[in-house]
Amino acid sequence: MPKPLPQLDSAVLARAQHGDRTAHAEIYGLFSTSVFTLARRMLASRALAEDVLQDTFVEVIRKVATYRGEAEFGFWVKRIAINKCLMHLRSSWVSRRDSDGDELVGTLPTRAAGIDDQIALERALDDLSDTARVVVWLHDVEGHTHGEIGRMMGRTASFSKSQLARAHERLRLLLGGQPAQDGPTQLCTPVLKTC
Amino acid sequence: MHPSTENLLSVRDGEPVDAEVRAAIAGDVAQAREVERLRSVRHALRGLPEVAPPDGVWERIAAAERETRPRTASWRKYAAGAGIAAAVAALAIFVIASPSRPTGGLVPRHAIPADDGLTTTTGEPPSTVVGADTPFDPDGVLVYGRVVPASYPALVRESARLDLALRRLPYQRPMMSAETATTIAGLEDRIALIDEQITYSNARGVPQPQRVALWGERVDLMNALVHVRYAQAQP
Repeated sequence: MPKPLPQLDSAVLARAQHGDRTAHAEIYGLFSTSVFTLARRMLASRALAEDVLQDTFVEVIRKVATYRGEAEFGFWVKRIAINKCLMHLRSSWVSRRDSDGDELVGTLPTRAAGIDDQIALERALDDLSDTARVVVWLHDVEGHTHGEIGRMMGRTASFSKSQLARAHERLRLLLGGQPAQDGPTQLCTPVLKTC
Repeated sequence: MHPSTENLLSVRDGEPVDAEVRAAIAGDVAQAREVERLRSVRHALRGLPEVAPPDGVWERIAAAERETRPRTASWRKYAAGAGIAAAVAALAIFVIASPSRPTGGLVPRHAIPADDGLTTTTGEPPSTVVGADTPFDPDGVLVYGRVVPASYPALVRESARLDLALRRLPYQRPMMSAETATTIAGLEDRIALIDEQITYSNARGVPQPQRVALWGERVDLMNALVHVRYAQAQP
């Protein structure tokens, strides 16, 4: 299951909706790490993630009075952040994608290592194409369905499914792994000479 | 049969899969191991550490937010900040609302050429693309005065040119007034909505005139966004 979102106290929300700056700061303190992490993973850029962080909370403050609790507050905040991330990426998709909406970027091999190596995994994730990285993060980590991802990206559920498959095929290559013969979760990694 | 990665992921995620595919995976140790590997990758992705935001971002957001509130301080100080924001907002409104966009990237809808199979309402000759592909002149200044025909391919090209212009603008640290941020957010939201509509129209085979209208709208909005971002990027 995806990581649970922090819970916002209803009293803080009420104060925020009445323009209380302290409450705004509390909301930022509660959700800024989740938003920044989401943006950093989706955009593979710390600078752009910082932009998204600011843009997201400017909008959160601007719109918090209109929040009616249709979704969990943290989900609402994240949805704003996801839209901001997609906006950042959309312009590059327009010029780089091929007819399938896929693009081949980041073709340099990542240092091969096991999936337990978080640094290698982070680098592999960053090396995915924008579309593949967004889909794999939204699906595998954030827990969105293919239908939701398709709608968010203006595409179909099938598009999301095929992008997720491509992302995992690419991750396997970037991590230098092949299914090993001696265990269900071990990867054969050439650099570590475990093949 | 050899299950695809998509099949394996469907099994991993508990989604409906053809019985034949499921049987093939269950009967093949290597495939079952691959499903397990995909599961472990997902687990590892979820286990990646959170990334702490940099210091000072909230202070910038709060400062920007304060700028938009009524104040009793010196009117000159207020006017300076508000003037910049108003100029940016006015520029965006002007670009969106301008019927002929003489300095923008798009000619009026009535210039749709007949050779695209579209309705021509005025019979005017189609305009032509002026200038090179780059959105900047040789001195690196953003070119505003481009005139393009409102044909489907030209609008798509113009849209891509504006996307390129947006990407080439120098990166700015997120120091902007809330009003500017609001203007930008509004434009971005509308572009996102248009993009969804374009995607839908392509998938549903919507008649080309409507698609041209959508692309025209996208070019208008992108034009406004580039102008606002350009203004923001000035020292």
